[in-house]
Amino acid sequence: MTRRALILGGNRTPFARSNKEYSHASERDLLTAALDGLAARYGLAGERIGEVAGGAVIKHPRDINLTREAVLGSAFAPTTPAYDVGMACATGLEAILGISNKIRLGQLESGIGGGADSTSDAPLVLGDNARTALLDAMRAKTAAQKLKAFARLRPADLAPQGPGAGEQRTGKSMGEHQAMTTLEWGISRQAQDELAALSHQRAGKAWDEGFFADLVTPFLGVSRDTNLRPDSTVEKLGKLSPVFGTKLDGEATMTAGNSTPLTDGASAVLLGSDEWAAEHGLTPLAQIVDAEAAAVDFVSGAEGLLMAPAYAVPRLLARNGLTFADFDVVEIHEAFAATVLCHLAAWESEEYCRERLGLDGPLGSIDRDRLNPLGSSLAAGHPFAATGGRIVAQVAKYLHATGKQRALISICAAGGEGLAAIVEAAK
Amino acid sequence: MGGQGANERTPARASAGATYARALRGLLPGRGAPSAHVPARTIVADTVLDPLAVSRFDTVVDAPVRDTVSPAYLHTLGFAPSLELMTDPGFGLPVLGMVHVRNAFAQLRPVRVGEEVRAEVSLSPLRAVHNGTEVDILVAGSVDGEPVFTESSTYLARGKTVPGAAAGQPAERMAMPDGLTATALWRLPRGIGPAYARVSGDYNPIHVSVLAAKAFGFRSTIAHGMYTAARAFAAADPRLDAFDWTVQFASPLTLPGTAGYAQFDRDAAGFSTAVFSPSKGKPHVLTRVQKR
Repeated sequence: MTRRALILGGNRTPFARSNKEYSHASERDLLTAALDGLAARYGLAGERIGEVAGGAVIKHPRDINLTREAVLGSAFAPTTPAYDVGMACATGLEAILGISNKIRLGQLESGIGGGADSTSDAPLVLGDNARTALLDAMRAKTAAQKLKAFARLRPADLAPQGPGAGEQRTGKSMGEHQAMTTLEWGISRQAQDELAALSHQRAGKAWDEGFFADLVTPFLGVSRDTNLRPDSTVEKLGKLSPVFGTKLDGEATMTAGNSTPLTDGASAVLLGSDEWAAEHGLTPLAQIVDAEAAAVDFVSGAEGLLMAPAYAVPRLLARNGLTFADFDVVEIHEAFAATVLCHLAAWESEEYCRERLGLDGPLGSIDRDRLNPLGSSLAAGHPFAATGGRIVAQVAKYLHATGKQRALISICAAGGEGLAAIVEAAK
Repeated sequence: MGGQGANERTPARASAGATYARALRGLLPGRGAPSAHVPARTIVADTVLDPLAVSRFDTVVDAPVRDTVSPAYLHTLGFAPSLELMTDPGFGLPVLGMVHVRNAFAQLRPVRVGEEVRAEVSLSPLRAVHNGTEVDILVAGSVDGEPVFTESSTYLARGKTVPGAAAGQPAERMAMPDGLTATALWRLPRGIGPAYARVSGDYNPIHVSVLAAKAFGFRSTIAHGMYTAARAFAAADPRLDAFDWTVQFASPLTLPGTAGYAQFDRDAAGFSTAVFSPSKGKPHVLTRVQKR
């Protein structure tokens, strides 16, 4: 029998809206907190774990070894190796998949995948003009050369630049990109607000029922995701003004309510082989079965920036001989409500599925009751690299707790990338 | 512990500037002669441990930001009340120029952000020692009546003698092993003085103003002793629920500067740390953490 990569548990910090409670916590602190909570919950303090993979999207240059530094500061043994991973918003899921692949190959018996992001404790850098002028001055051999390099500096060049949510090749923000796709698919404001309200309501219910009690460890006085508004309604969301797509030729429908806010937080997922789980007396919750990455050409405008999962999912389903009907749960990361709705529309469109995805007909519809049953990023918030760990841990627990069988996870990412994975209950 | 006098309450972060102004006036001629008097009162300060204040402090001393609060931060809770006691007209020594020579902190259980800590702060009687006169600042920390820490911070008025001070026993000295190799080098910018002043409330001018530092005989500003001790503690990051943390301040660390750091005498009961001059090998701060 081939080896399985079991999901044994997870832990995260509550997610907090940026520049609030976690303003002075670094990504290292956040990731350490997530790891410490995991060690405490599963009695693993002092334990050497096979390998820890993690990352952050908005990353300080000093944090080349962010995950290893977090491990060193954590309750796990300092002899636990770690490596950093980067795939924008899919970082956390990619980290978990890398560890699960190593477990399935027999390279690892145990591992942790996760990530952290803070847009509060953000790195500020000099703009390219100042940076290149200073570097040229440093390389200059003569005083005249140095002067010449410095002479290029303008006061405005010295203003520090914060991290942008903009795409390098287009200069457009993610929201502006999504607004174009939203318009193209004709996704209505009403549909977006309904999805957003449902996300808050479902997440609020899950919190009230204590579902997250053993998935989240309080941090710095925060014990619940601070973006959560369980009393969200379509009426309340309908009062917000559009923030993206206001200059496009069509109705602007994307608001702060149906887009995810900037948030700070971290997550970690514990993975292991059957033997390791048994040795440590841990109950397998689920297993990672397969995954597929995809990327789209958004630069030329041929496809929407966040539409890559639309391509990853059918390839993943085909390889595993599955259809949407085979999934009890579908977790689609809510970068924006419209992102989810564009995907649903794309998979239902015969034309799109034939012409873009190369299928014989529509991929199919997803039963809304099975879609993001615990709410998703619109409610919880989205500390970029921490989202993968949030979804994997909660969906694994959900399968285990409900006796359901199979879940599909889909995450879109900057750079026109997407990642999808299949998780099944561990029998 | 504690004084017999009337208790009073003060916000833990009373205006340090005003208190230091009073301390400076104490240096002016016309002040009464040194005496063995100490104010016999206990100041009670209640503080809810604010996660943002704690995380700001942790960031400055290079400590992990987490829910448990470091002993170095808890030390700051007694600072403003202690300054108030030592600038009281009833205190027999001028506080400016007194040197923090030792610190003994006992953590009885972990303290977390969000808890309300009561710090009861009082002064010991003055003691005559071979190189001057010492006093202990005594702090008893509790949460809802449950003791969580006790602390004794010893200050020395070097070369000052006061009539009537009882003779003190020489304190046990910590020593640094010969030939200790630095396992880490700390490059400390001048800004670390003001940065620690902001998060601890200790604006002693020798840490923030070069001019003031020179007036007190230093080459430049010096790092707060408790900054150095806090960072030494954080670098080892002991995960103990109850422990004794003993600190001995040996020589000032001039800013900007580079210090060596090493741990030694590690065993099941605890470990020691040294922060020292990497060129001369002379210790700045020695500490011992011992399980309780």
